[in-house]
Amino acid sequence: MKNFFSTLIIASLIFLATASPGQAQEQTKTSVTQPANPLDRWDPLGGFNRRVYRFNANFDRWVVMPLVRGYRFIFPSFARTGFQNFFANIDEVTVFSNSVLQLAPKKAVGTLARTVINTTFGLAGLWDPATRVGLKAYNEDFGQTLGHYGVPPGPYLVVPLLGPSSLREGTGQIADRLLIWGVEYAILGDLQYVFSALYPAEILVSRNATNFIYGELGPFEYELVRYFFMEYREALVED
Amino acid sequence: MNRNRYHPSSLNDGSKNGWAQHVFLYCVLLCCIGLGFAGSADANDSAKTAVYPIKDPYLATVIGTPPDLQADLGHPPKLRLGKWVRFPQRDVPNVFMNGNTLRYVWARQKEAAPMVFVLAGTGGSFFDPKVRFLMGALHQVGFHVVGLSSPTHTSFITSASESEMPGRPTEDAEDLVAVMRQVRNDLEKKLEITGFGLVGYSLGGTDAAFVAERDSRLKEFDFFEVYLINPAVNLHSSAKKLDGLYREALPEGEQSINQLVSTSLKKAIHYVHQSGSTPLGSEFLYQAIADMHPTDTDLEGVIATSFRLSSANMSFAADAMTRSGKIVDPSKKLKVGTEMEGYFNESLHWSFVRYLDELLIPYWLKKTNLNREQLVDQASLASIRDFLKNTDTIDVVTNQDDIVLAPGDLEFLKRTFGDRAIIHPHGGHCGNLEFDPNVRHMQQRFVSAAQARGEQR
Repeated sequence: MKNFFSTLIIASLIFLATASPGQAQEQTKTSVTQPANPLDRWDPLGGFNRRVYRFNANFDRWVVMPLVRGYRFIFPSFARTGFQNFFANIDEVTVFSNSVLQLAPKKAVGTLARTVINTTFGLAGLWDPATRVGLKAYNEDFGQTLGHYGVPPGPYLVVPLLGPSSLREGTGQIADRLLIWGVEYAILGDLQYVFSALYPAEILVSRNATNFIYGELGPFEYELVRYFFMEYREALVED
Repeated sequence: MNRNRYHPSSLNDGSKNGWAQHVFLYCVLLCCIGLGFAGSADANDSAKTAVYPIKDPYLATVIGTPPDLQADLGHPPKLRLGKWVRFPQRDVPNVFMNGNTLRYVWARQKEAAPMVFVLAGTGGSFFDPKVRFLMGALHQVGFHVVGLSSPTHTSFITSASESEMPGRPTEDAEDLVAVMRQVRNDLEKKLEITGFGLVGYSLGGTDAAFVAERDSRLKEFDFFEVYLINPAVNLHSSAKKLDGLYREALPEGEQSINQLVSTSLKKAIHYVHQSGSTPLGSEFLYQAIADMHPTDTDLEGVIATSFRLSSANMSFAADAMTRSGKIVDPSKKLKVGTEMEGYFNESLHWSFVRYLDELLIPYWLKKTNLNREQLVDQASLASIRDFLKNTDTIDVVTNQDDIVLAPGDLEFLKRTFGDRAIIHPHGGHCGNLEFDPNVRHMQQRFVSAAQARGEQR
């Protein structure tokens, strides 16, 4: 079970690689020819992506949201916030390591301090005292590191179950996930399997925190989500 | 501690991280004009003042009410989704995600209570922050609440609009009443409902007036209170007024609309990004935008963009559903995997004025024996003036600087509603909807109107 989601990511990346081997490289060489509509983004797998988007929407409606409702029924609000903090604290591993990779000492030190405070005083990250004392949370990941060193985002990708991504971000997500599991293994040894089994729970927690329902943005929801995803990622890379 | 910021919805817990955040942003940015999140942050009573502070109508329209001046609505109600298939036989192209199913959202009181319907504004969905805010506000003072999408929203067009060509208020009111009747039948099985109220903002306000007028003749709901917030007085002159924004924001003319939309959305993303990966509470975003000192041209661009996305969605949906052939070739099948870029591109050139002139009016000229002038006149609150004047359960609240009001509209409202019209000096279009004193006034109107009818303990 533990590699279920990442397998899906890898599978779709392989699919991508085999489906359009030449295009990806061509794209990186010649800077993107300006599309007719500035709202368009490079999407060679559009037809496939659109179907996955719809699959995700249906999966969300019929499987994920019912689970989220159950989750809300069982856990009170403070517990849900605690879980959110807990997973965010684990994610600081990627923020820290990618800050180091991007040679950003301020972010790295700040993140390290956050992790230490939240893991100890914050009861293994369930609580977030670091934000209270004014330590800002940063958002860094391997996709951004790749972007930082000039790797273009590549084609847009909708990953089954996980949603909007791109070749670069998808690769980054896998790298970050492997890193987290590696660090957990180094600290916890075999107990790590307990943590990686929590990955689906993390997705549930993350979905619960997401103020979105599919299908309410109109007929061009796919285009708008794509545009926002790609632009927002670029904004994150640039900071 | 990462405190849960208040959102008047339990459909979410407040966003923090990862893809969750992205998706949250889309919703925030697109669903509403007004990045003003519904909700209050740390309710700081000492900060509350009696005067809405933003004097620039464009800024007010975009960012809404500063978080510490928003009404504190306490614990958000638990929202539930409801569904209805009005036209089981209707063949809706697959590209429309919700097909022929209309969705709405509702929240209950434990005991018997009156129910208030909340109508979304132009192109708005039941999930818009303003709808959820109004639901939260009315739920707080003891009402069952139901949030409905605007008849101009894509899903409403495909699932609940009889004509599939919204924008004629009398017809839209018929559709809304059909939906409300169904919602009532469904929820009466689960709740004890002692009466009905109605509130709408923007075009939803106009819709509410027409629904109320219809109901005054047919007495299906017998509303104890109808509350119109920043309604458009005449749809055609409001559409023209909004087109003026494009002229300001589009010096190179209509062909650069895509560029404008892209630039404005980029700016919006930039604003959101400025809020950092700190918890996405309203005060962060508000501060981020305020700190950037956007110019009026920026703001007009954002407002124009937001409305243009609405009119593009509506034009595309209405054209595809009625097979009018203006945007979509009627012989083409729109499937899940259909590339939509070309349609998106084309639809963005459809302003509200163009929609009215090239889709709505031709459609209704064919279906009725009215002429153009009559259709335009009917799309105005002036066509139900006597009803509005003589019904003391209808209130209207708007702003002197509301950007959708045309010259003469304010005078019309004052003359027609008399002392039931409240006109604030500032607030732009719906910018002061969440402002504490205004929310309290609305709550108080509904509560006292319900009590006067003996519908609330």
